[in-house]
Amino acid sequence: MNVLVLTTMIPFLHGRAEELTNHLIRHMKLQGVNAEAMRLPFKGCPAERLLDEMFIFKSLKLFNVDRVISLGFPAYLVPFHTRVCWIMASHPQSYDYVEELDMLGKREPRARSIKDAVIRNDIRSFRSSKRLFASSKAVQSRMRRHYDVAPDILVPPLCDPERFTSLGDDGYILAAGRVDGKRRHSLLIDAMRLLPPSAKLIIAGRPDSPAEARRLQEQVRAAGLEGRVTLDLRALPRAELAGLVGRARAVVCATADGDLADGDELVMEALEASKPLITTADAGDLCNVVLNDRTGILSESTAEGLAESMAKLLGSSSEAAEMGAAGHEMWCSLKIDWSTTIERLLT
Amino acid sequence: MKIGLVSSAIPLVQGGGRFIVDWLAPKLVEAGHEVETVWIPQVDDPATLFQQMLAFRLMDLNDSFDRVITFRPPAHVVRHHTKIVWFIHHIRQFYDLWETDYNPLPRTAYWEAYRANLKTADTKALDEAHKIFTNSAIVQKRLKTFNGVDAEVLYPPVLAPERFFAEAWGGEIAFICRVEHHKRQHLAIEAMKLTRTPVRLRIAGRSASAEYADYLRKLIALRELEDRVTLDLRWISEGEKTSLLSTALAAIYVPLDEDSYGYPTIEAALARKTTVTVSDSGGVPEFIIDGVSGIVADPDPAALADAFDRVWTDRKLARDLGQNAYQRLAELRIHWEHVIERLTS
Repeated sequence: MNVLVLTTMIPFLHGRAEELTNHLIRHMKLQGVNAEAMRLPFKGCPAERLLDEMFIFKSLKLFNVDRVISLGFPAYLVPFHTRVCWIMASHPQSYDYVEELDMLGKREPRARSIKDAVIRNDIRSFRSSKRLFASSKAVQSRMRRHYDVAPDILVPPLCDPERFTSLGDDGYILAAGRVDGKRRHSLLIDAMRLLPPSAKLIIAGRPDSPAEARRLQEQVRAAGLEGRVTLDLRALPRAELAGLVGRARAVVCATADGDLADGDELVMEALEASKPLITTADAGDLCNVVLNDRTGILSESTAEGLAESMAKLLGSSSEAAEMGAAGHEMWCSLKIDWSTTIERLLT
Repeated sequence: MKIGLVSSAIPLVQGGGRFIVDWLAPKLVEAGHEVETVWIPQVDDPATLFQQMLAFRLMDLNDSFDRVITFRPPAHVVRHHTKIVWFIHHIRQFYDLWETDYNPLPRTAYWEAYRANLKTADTKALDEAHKIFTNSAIVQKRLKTFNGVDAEVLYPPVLAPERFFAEAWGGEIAFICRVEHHKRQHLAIEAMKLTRTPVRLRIAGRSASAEYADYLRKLIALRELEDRVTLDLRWISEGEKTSLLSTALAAIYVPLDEDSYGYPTIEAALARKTTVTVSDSGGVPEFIIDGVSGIVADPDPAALADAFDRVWTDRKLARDLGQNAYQRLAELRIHWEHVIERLTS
């Protein structure tokens, strides 16, 4: 089967979307599928430009392909009879533009008509797709709201699950991945102030801005937590990250309304590596993969609540290991893995 | 500088049109540039060709790149303030193949007008270019004839030329390329029947046409050549290729009217091996000068058989022609330094 993955490109920008696209191709090839990705240039502003872009994508023609997997707007407008749309939170999507145009449209009729054109084209394309998937519940509900379609949820698996496994227990709690306000690392630092000196926290990952990095460093210093909170603020090589996850006592992810496949991959990494998870009750989709007191702890999203949860897991290595093992088992049963995913995309 | 390499492609098909881009990209990066490759799917379907061209035309690349380099048509119609066109062929059924059997369209007023419009669009897109290069003198001439456009010939080198080496001039002629009817592997097999020496032939390459592959298999059996002709219908690895060429007696490349000298010719020359070709192969004789860097035979089995026997019988000749083919690379400046210099100046 010849599979073409279609997505958009912003030249020289290589982020989560590109990484997921590459791994999708890699895993299809590993399974013997003949697959290639084409990334087409796309420019979303000014709003008027969207009309040209939609016209471009609708005008392209495909040959020598048995199945198309489109990962986002407006790549799914390229006509093809067996097209699967997999709407990913990590890729640019039309609802972002629709919501923006909605605001503009209150003042400008032109914005309103562009918005209508986007919606009209999208609905036609979604309805003519063989399958329609959303990468998360949040994406699913936005699609329902704007286009009145009901995609199935298909969470993109961890790109490199083979790296993650338990390597023991060095007794620290780990918060790794993207470092930005949304992931509430400062709340974790506050929680550390309430824990005994033996508690150790490692925050590791690339900060979104130098300002964010400075803010956290300042907070740690002001609280006198230098010896207990390690800030490793850089993009970690995947092998190094897997080592940190593998040796942790537990993993904490304090994102509000998080997305497993767009910014909170840490949750999947912890589950792969059999580590218990602390998430907060307001974590959205992330709550679904933590069974409170069985595979981790659903904490209140306050410093006190988080401190209590962390204390509990720091208190017993064996209990943490048990929860981690239970979490791994639960995770495997969800089948968020590449072979299941590719099977769903190609049947 | 920020460079965009823009080309059209048929998804999941490899070949020369892909290689020229894929091999250039890392060389530009090595030279200190930032490079992004844009492959745009395309179909040679007259019913939708103009619509597809319009899509290419409307893409907005101006802010993303300091310079774009375009390759396979209709990529040259994209708009950019500094557009370099490295033209590798026209959409040939409307150009040099218009009056041949390769053009299935009727020559009605409608299609004549269609053809004229395509020519106008191509010429306009070419006129906008900052510079125009072609991959061969043949294509350069076609641009002049059909579009009235002057272009500079810039021969495309192959990936990592330093990999190739010569170890011996053995008894086997290497035919390494895709196995397709227009590459004419059948001609080489027919020639093998007429040779008078024990020269051997090895055909290696994948075929998109099971029918042609099967035909070759039967032809070998029919001519009772199983012990002297090897048919290896795989896309062999680069390592296998350098190894095969290192001990080959010579190479053969006899496509029908191709646009350029063909990468197989260059790869053979890098391994100091001469190429046997035929006079109607299109661009190959630009590189292979008969009796100097190779043999340009008449396109019939008897003439090819005679060429095979000559290099088999006279190994010194095979060696000298191969050495001259290697010299020819420098003569035509088929190396990356030159290409990078021309494309970025």
